[in-house]
Amino acid sequence: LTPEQQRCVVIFNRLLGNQARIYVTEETLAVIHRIPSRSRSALAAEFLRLEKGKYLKRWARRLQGFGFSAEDARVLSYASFGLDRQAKQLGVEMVITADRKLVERFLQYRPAIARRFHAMTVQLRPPCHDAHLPAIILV
Amino acid sequence: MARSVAKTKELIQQARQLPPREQLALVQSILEEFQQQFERAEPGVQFLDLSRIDMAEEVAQFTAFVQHRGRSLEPDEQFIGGLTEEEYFALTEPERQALWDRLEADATRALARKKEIEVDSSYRPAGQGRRPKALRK
Repeated sequence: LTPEQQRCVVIFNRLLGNQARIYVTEETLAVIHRIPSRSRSALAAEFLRLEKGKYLKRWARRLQGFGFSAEDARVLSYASFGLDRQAKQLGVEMVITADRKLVERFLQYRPAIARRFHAMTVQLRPPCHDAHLPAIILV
Repeated sequence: MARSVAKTKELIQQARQLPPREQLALVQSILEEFQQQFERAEPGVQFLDLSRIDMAEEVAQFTAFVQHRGRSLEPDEQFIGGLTEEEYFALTEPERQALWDRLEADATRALARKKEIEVDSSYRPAGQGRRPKALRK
């Protein structure tokens, strides 16, 4: 296994061991569902769908202003405004990514991103008023 | 701790002797310093260190999970993107990335027009009131 694959194995073991809820975006889930059912069954059964909540697109557009690609901005925005409709949960606690560029950009602009996020959410009604930026784990 | 409390009291006494405008500037500078300290202590990003991890045990655990839950594919069975498992793992890393990028782009286009869902008051932010769990064993 490559170091990146090793890290993914470790992360996945930890998440399962902690009985964490593992979310993927609707887009990623759509890709997974294109894998024939017998081969996707082991991992995909552990994934939960995160759907687009209100303000997700707006926050993604603002993140693109910090230089994130459309895809990276969407993933980060899901972390704050994605919805688990069954658990009635807004956003997630952490994003796990192997994308170093995303992490470096997030670290570079984090204080400004936090200020922009606060400026946006402070005007919203609860629970979006209480939405938060995720922690990020780089595998 | 006691020393820092005494030092803080001393600073407060000194600050009280300043004109109100300078008191305000002092408070603002202290708050900014706290904010900077907080941001340094909470960088928001964790890095996974593999050096102290028994990889053989980890891989065994993962393999056991996959074998328990999944099933090996037949050699001619489709894995992803119209490829068999063997064809997929024969791809170079850039080719694999290009395949996933294409699949993701197709899915993004298909879902682009889906409307956002209203977030009513029954929703709660994830982990509200507590810090993210560390990924420990």
